[in-house]
Amino acid sequence: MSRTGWHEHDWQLIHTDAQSPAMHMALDEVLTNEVSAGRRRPTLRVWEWADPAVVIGRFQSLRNEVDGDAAAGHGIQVVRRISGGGAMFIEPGNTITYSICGPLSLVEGLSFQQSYELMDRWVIEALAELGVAASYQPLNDITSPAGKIAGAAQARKGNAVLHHVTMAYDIDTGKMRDVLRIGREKLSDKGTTSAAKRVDPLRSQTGLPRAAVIERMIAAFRRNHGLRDDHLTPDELGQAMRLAEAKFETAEWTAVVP
Amino acid sequence: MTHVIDPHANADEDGCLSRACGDYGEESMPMHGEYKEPGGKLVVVDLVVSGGRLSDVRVSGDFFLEPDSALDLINRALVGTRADAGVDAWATAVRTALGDGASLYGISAEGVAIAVERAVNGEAAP
Repeated sequence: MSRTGWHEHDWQLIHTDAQSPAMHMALDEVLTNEVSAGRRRPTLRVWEWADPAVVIGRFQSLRNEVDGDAAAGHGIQVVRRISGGGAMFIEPGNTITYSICGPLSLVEGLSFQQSYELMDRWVIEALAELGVAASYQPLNDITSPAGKIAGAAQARKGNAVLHHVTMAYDIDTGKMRDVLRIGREKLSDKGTTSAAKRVDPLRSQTGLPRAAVIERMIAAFRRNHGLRDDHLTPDELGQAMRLAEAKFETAEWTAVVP
Repeated sequence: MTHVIDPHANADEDGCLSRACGDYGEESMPMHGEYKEPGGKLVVVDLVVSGGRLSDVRVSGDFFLEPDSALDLINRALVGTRADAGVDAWATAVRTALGDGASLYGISAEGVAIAVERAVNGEAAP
């Protein structure tokens, strides 16, 4: 298999109504599998959140990362995603999240670092058009001179790569620090952590409403790589609902790394 | 001809004939170690020392690992190793378990080994 370019694929856009955190986790897994199996064309999915959530990485310890009582007290669900990386604190309207479910050939032969850089490039160009001097910062951040903007995580499944990104639009850092445990070792090299890095959200940097930022990002993807409006099929939606219930809503999965 | 009995032939160096002897009053409290390579990701190790060897090893952190199922390979590679094996031995065990089929991003086998050493030495963080 040799590496393919963005333009060699017929990219589809999915931007649906708000979904529960567990459904978002399930949709990532289902759509990545569908792309891997060749049943779905490569897809950009923009998320809308129905509920606040803490999303922990595949390999993070639940009890080391999350104050379960504080999360419950704030009415915040804790879900575990299928990709590695750090915990994200999500409130609807405060976050812009999207997934790219692409063919593995897009990142064939690239190091992990190169593949993050490649997958983030279009959004960095989109942010530049909004006046934000964003750049990729290894290993998996998007940052700006004023602070961190976003974190990315990738997972490779079969013949597909999942690259999802959570961008801070606005953020309640007080509530975030209540819910996420941030250890000393994590702060050892940069004085910051994925969740607590000096975040400067897009609201203050762009002065635009959240929906306008999303619209401009989608337009930039469309212009750079081509993009056709699509929807979830009934089969995909059914698979995701079953997977959300059987896996992502279960304590067994959320505490798979206790 | 002198009949020599090798004390190490069937026993650990501490004289245990099996790991089970650790169950008789030698099991440690849960131990916890963390390590973050500069510019890298955090690796956390929780374990118990039983009969001088690591048991119930759980590696976690905000690193990346492909495939995700390889996390169990790492945990299993460390279980049963001596609590004084040292960073090089643990790093080799992790690297060997991962082989060519699995890749770490953000941490290294040595980083996992350093977190193990911090756990057994009771150094959760510097």
